[in-house]
Amino acid sequence: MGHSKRSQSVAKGSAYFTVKGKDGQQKQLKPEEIDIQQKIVMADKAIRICLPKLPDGINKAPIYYGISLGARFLIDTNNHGLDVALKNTSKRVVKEVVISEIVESTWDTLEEQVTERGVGRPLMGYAEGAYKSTMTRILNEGADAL
Amino acid sequence: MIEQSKEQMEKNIKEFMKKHGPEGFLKLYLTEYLSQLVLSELRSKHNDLKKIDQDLGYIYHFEGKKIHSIKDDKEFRERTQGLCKEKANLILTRLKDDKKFTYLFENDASKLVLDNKELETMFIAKMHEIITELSESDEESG
Repeated sequence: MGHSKRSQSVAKGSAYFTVKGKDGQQKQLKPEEIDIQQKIVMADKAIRICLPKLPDGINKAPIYYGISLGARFLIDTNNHGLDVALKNTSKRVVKEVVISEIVESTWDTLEEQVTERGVGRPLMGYAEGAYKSTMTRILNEGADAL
Repeated sequence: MIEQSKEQMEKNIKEFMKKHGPEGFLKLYLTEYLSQLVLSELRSKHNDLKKIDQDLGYIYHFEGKKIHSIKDDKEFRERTQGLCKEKANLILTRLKDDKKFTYLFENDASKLVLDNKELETMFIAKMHEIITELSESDEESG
């Protein structure tokens, strides 16, 4: 089976997926015939589908909230230390200075503030997942996180 | 996950900021955000649940009748992250080109507040503009 080259159409509504083989010919494959390389091509396709789907207006706000909160926390830690950063970014007292508690408590503060603005899930959920994963990696891996 | 001491966490953040700065955080955050979107899209149910063989969620998890290997899953996730990182870089380049957003790339937290409606509105409008541009160029390149 030939590997697909660039993003090919995912034939929604059909039991087959159209992919281009090494010979340049389009083939119709069943899901079980699709290998990992073709799945990766589908991920590329999915990005193209996802981006325009992001709704306009306040629904894009969670991206901004995550950026503001995370960058502020990191800059404050860098300039004044972790204790000051936690005091500035977390409303509640951090009981135990461990990664999960830091990540959760800072995010909770943000969620409290934005819920009343009518920003709903799942977009808030993507921002939350991205924030928690990013901060956990930085706290754990340092410069190697990127 | 290995739990770090408070001193080590602080050291890790300082090391990250020294090497990558706020831009590094933006890159990582946007990459993670796009990855969450893509994985959600791939797992979503596009069709009738009875016709499970038409579902992208199905082919995301399965290789024929078997769940695909951990190695393949790891490769898939790494490659997907790579694709998302490319997109995140494109978004950041455009954001950086606009002087109104220079503050996001500086080592100054004073403007990074959640209740500045003006900055929030400007950011949302800019993201919409960038995403529209990227989507159009994606369409043109097929």
